[in-house]
Amino acid sequence: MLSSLAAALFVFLAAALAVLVYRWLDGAVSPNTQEEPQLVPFTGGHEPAAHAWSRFHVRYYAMAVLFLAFDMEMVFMYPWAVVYVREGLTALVEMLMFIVILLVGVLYAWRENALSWQ
Amino acid sequence: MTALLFAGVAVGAALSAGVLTAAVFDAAVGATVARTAGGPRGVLLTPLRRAAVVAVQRRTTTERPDARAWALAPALLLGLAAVMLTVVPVAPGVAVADVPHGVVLFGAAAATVLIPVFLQGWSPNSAFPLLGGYRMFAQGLSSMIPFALVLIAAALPAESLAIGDIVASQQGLWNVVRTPLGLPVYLATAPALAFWQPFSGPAGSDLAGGVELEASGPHLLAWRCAQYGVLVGMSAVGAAVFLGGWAGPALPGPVWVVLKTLFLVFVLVVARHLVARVRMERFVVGAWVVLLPAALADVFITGWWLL
Amino acid sequence: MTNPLRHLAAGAPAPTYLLRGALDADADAVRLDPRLRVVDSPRHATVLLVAGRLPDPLLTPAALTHDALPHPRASVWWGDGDPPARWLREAVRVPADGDPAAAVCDAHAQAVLGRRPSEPAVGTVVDRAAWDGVGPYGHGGSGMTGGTPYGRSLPDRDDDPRDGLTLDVLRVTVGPFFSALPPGLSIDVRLYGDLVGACELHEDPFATSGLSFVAPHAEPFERARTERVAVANLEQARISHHLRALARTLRLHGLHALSDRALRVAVAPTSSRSVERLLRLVAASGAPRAGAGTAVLTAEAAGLGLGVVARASGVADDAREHDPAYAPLGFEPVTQRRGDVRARTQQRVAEIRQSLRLCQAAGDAVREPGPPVEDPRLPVDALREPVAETLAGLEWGDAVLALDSFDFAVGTPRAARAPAGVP
Repeated sequence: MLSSLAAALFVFLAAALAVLVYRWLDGAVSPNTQEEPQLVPFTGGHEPAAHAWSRFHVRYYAMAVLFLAFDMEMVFMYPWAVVYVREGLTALVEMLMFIVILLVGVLYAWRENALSWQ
Repeated sequence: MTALLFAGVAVGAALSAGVLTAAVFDAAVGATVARTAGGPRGVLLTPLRRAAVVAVQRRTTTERPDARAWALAPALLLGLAAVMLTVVPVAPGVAVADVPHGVVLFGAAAATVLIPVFLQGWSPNSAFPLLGGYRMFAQGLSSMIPFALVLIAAALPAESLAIGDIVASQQGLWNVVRTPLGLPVYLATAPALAFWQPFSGPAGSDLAGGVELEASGPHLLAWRCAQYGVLVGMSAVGAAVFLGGWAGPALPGPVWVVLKTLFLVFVLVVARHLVARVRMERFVVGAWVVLLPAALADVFITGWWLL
Repeated sequence: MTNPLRHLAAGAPAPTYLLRGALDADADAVRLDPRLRVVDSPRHATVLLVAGRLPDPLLTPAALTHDALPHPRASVWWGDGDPPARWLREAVRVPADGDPAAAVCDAHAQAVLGRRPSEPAVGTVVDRAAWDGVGPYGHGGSGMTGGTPYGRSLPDRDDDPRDGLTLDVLRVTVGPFFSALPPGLSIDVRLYGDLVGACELHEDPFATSGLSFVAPHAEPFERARTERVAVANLEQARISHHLRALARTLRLHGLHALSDRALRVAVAPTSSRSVERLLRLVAASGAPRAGAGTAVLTAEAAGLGLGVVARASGVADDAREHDPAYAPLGFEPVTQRRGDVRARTQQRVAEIRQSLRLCQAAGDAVREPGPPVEDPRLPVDALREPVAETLAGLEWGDAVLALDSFDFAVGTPRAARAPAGVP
């Protein structure tokens, strides 16, 4: 199994490195002569008043917390899926109870408009 | 060592062929929908020519970018696309990464796609790419849970998280029938994770290109190829998990894998040209209120049938 | 090694960035030519196509847009007379009745193959503060956000209008040549996250510079004021106008292929079968259903004489109702109820279908000049403040769709919309 994972890791690194090498080679072969006006971030023709990096209001932060709850549920569902057929009805009922409790959370978030922005 | 090199070459060839085929499909379906004249030669050559134009352009940068993160974005995206292809089995027991938890590895790769898209939006220090990057988080977080749940539902009959075992368990009945809501939810969430139209908010035309607005040259070419690669990877795993992988009469297994993958790619490309972009807020609400319960129902219906 | 690549690139459809100015030719039709491809961002383009005269307020943005193109780049000036800017004097010239696509394709090939030197920067970046601040990232000065980090300040802080959190607000002037906005229109927005706070639409730059123009497809509306025009011609022009608006909306929804198809139907003589098939595809895509409840313009704010926008808000005001040429055709104004983005899009689709019926029923009927003309073109200055108010509080994507739903005809002469009842 480790060799399979090593293969996946190798492929990942090779692909990432290929892109980085291509970018670097292209920059080395024909160097980039950039003039200042080209560097201005494009917003249709006017210069921006300020840098874009800012404390951006991420309006979906409540949804992100809900996602965390379901992500933790996912962690438990992975091994549950493997042993499900062996365990039978008890497995089904127990996971169903777990999910229903979490779904109440989704319902609450929906009714409290945590999922909408405007 | 040679095995690793062989694996790398195989995945590289599969990725290149997949990206090229997806681009050709895109051009062909686009030309059909737009009713433009143009023979098959034009459809085959145009993606190559367009790629050549982008390759010839210089890479531009902005005033105060995050240069390292910006360089990492397409590299990371292509790496993840390659990882997605490594878990796809082409024959019983034959996959580049035949791990006993292939579903988890694939889910992790699909989830991590958020990172390079956000980096691509954050790094140029420009307003509209930034908006696109933050949109990707909303889209990705919302679609990740239903996406993983339908994969788990497909793993239930196989009693294993290895994709090879899931394909083997479909010898009698494909999962598209056995887990009925699986493929529809998969086809709704996989393009959202790949920011593919109709979920192209991060790179949408209302942001004049979004995360791709400030990208040009080889950087843009690598980015677009990586996006097609992610699409092909998701289609390949979808074909393996829902459409029976190498199972099929007459033709050898690997050919069936390719045909089923291309079928899903074709479906996603047609959806791109015919379905309007889903608004961000609408998608978030839809993912949590419709797709998530549907995915859960899929899990429990499959579980019930297996009892 | 690069030569075969460059030859392959030279044969590609030239990625073009289109700057729309005052032109006597159809600038929309250029999108349909297979020799070029109009792109959304200047950083993806090799050729800058300046179509027509640009008014003075648009010259500096045009120069900055030109400089945003990556090398190798070329410019093409399409129009008659002198180019509006000095840097366009060396550009490839195409007369107004010429073939711009051939010139664009040629300029692209020349630039890519290196036969024509790539154009140098033409803009000057003014008001650029000194590049160094204090400290390793130039953030220095007093506190975290004092000083002048790298030539531009960091954003200001302000309370969020929706929940009162004090975070940063991005003040952006989304310029005249932004592909998501009507060409030539600029707006000043305050972005709280991705929500549009207060915003302000700039005045029509063509009107303030006296450069108003009439697009060729809208000529029947101008002629109908003083000459006899066939009713069928007038309604065909209306169908063409609304289909072009629909094409822009489809492009904003990401449906570029459908948008090209809509433009193709708009430019070619319309057969009702092709229009019907297109409308069915558009309806199936979900684009007309978008934007329910957003950017509602009430009937009072819509007022009279505002064409599609007024009728979508429920005001049954159509100049054709009192026009004797339309009486035998059984004309009834079509209205929608809510006045939101969805209503305006559906109103346009309904008016396309209505005009198709009128075309078939009219036959050879001719309209006498005299009664006011129902002109679908809406000048920007008619609704600047009400529209800016409706955009406040919308998410950016919804705001763009809302602005597009009004279908402002930037550059239309101000007298185009004569209110009903005024000769």
